[in-house]
Amino acid sequence: MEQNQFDIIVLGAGHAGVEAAYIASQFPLRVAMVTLPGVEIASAPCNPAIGGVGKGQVVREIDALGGLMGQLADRAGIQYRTLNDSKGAAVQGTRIQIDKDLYPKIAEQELNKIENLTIIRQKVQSIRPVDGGFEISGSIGPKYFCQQLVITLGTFLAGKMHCGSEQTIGGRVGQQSSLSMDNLFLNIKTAQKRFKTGTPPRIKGETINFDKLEIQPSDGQTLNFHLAHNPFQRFIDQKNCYLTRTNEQTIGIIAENKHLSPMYSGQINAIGARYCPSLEDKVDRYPNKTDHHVFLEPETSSEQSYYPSGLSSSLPRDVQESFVHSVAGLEEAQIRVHGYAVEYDVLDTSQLSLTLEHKEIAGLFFAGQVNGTSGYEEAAGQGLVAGLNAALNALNRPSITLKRADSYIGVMIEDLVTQTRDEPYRLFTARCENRLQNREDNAFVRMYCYRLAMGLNSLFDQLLSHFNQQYQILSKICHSYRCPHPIAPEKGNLSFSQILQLPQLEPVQTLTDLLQTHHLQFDIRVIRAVAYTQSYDGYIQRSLKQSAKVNSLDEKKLNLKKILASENISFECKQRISEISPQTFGQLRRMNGLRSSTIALVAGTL
Amino acid sequence: MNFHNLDDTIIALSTPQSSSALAVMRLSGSFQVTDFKRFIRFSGPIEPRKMKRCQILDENARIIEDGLLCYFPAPHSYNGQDILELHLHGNPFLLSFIIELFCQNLAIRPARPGEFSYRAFANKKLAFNQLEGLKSLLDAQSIYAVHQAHGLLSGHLTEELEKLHDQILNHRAHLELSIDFSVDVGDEQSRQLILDSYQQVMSTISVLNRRAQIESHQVLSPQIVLYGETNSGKSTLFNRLLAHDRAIVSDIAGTTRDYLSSSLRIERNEYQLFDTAGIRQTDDAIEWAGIEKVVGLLKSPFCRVLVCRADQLVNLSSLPYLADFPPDLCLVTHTDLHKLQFMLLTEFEFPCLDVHRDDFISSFEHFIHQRFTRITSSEPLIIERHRQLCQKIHQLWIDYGDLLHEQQDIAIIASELAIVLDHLAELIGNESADDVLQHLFSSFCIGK
Repeated sequence: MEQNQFDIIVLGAGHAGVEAAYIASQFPLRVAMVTLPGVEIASAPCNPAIGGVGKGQVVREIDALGGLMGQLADRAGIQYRTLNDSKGAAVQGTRIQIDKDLYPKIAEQELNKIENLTIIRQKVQSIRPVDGGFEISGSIGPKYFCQQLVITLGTFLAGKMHCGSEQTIGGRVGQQSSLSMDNLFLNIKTAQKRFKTGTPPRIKGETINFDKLEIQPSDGQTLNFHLAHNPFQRFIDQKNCYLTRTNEQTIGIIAENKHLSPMYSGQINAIGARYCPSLEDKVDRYPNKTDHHVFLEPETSSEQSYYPSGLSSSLPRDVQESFVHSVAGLEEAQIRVHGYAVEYDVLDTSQLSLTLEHKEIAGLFFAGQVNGTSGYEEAAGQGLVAGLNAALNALNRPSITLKRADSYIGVMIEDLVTQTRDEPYRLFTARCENRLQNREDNAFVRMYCYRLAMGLNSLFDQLLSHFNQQYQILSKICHSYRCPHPIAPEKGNLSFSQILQLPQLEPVQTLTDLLQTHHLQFDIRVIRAVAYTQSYDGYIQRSLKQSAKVNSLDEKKLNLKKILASENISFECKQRISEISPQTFGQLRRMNGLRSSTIALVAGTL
Repeated sequence: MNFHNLDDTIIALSTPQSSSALAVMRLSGSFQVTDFKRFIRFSGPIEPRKMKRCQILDENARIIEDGLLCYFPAPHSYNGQDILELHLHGNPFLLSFIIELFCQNLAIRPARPGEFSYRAFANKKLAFNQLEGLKSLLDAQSIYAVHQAHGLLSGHLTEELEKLHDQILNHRAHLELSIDFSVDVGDEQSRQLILDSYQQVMSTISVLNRRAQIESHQVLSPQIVLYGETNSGKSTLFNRLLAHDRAIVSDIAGTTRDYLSSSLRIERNEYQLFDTAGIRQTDDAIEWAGIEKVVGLLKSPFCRVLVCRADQLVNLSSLPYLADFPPDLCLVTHTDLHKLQFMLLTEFEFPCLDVHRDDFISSFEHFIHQRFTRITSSEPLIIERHRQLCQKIHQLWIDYGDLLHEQQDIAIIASELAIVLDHLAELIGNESADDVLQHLFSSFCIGK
């Protein structure tokens, strides 16, 4: 094979691109990753953290599928926390603050180790479909050819940055933008609206007065993401986060200067996410609330830079300085990099299938923020699915898609390809119908069948198999071993499973103690997965029974031809249905923009 | 519901299957009237929505019926399809013969129950709950039932349920807030929001539940039951109220062995008036069977009317069955024989009427009408499915409340809530996660 010919090229090297390249190169294929010169690999341009509520589940799913994100987060982790610690295992979320200088370095190191992966640093000027694949070329340098192409351009697709009235072309501060989709590729539809996102100013650590602030230390009990790591090992020194608040003065400054914000002056009319409002948005929407939380998160081990979560703004530089100084602890603070907003094109994702491949252009995949999502984890999850299926395509093997029922990644991708959005998409646990089953602790169980289907026999696969065998063994033990009722011994013997369902007991500690008395040893992660699964079992069964009753229709396949030929469905509804082409009634039901009568009509004729 | 083909031409009788002067038959589908010219003969052009004389012919082109037809071309018809109405004579034998004739010789099949209306729904002529309203309209026996059916057709109940819908959405949003945005909103605050929004839903569900407690037959076919000691004069009153001799009257106690009933019209509403066997201990098996039937009738009628002789009023409190079946009204008889003390009448918790007063009939009718108006003004839910659902949801919401107070694990709470919501969906529809998030974002200041 020629030097410039690849089976798969991944365009972009953010979190989506890295996962796509990493999973694809686990197959016997020639893979290349093309990125702009001078751009860090897998950098974290916004908040310096991986995970969170709903997102922690995604990182563990990626890890169990053989992805990279979990390993990188552990190794660059400077602060661990379990969010929703007291609210039950199903809604807990691991969040690791990372050293944002170290994280891209480790990513690059890991990718450089892979023999069949080539990293190419070149700005792409055009993509041309050619016989059997795509030809990619820059203004200078060689042309590249690939059979499968994964596009992960993030915020760089026709990106434009705003800071006050200043505008810069580019997707990230100090970095250039890539061309618009029209220039890169004909016939690919972008969504009608551009999206925007923003980021707060960064504060010099040595200028913050921490004395006044509430400390949030790193949590030693939070487990690492990566299955091959010791769950409690910390790879570098742990740092604190700090909590402070905005006040009336801060809000006053914003209110006075709001007209200078590009969002409100009309300079930007792209849409931002409501769950990620800038300070200007907050003041506009909730004028009476003055004490918004501000979390000061260290961006590196050196603590030279802090990310003030809650102070996102694209106001002019001098205004940013004055409102930062109004916040307790930041009176003398100096800004390292000013906050800015970036607007960018996103793809109309109804053109994609569940593998994230374009429905009409075979071999072309899209993943990450270009698909209108927000968040590193969301991007990485898509990158993995796109990269995996590009590899399977290249090998002429059947595709692998993750089910909505058993994964957060599956929920996200189905939502992306079946629904239109008017704001960046973020995963919330609320979007997941099976929240009790889809937990962080059992991700290695849930993802096992998908990883097995990849048919790779790596060291990681052996480890994953070992964990799953242990899980099976311990589950059997829980059903067969019996001991006296721990609270009311007169009630006779109970199986471990029954004991774990007693609401008075904390399941993990209980199972750990039970195993100790029987001199049985298991990895804490296996114990957690089994203990929580058993303790939730009654509720899971109830909910499954109910949803089977309600959703028995959901699984039914649709006869799209018949639906589209029906005279009883409005033209607009038919158009939506033909754009999205839902395969099951459940997908149709979850689509937005359909009349309820259309849904009832289809249900009546299923 | 599985009405596979919306395009088949279907036929059904629209009026009851019994002898009557007229009967209406309807065909629905996609057709021209001339498609049926072999069996339906008429002269001149058909004008939409205008009656026209026609003859029905058999296979040998013999005239078997003479009637009227009316054609409603799509989409301006009841269900949005082409509809042909045939107004014929109400001879059940002839009517079934005609249906059979059409089905065997033309591409027409008999309609399944509800299929006409389903097509109306499919063509966006009716909403889901309007289908149910239509059924009540057809079954309605009282003005109230007609009113409620109309209320449904104009979406009244839907409006009422909107409040419940919004409160539930709010509750869900607060639950999700405490899961996905606990960093932004404190634990204490989000817990309080969850409990407060639970209570709001509870009060709305309680109101609905009270409406559901009134049983539908009380308003759809309200029963007035006369009961009391043997020989107190129930049958005499029964006849008097109906203004004709229907019951056998005698001086022998226990004359009425079974109950009798007849319809009674008061102020345009129709009631069922029941004359029952006198309640007493007896060895007579037939009489005892009659008494047992009375007990059944007395369980939940629209109005229990105790009939009592004036001389027995003093012993009223000793009657054993009054504790179980307290009267809504007492009619005092034999006041011509026994002097009635006015003071005595006002002692009771229930109103009493002297049957020998000149204005007795009008007082009685006034009482009944007042009572009916009072019960129906609380807008009871008369559709049985809605009633059952409301009662079930009420119970589920109470159980869910217990869990909410005991359980720390919010994922379990949310999972159990989802189960309640599935039941609620039948009443108010269900919301997608996006709707919940939308509500949440518009109510709270969250995010980095």
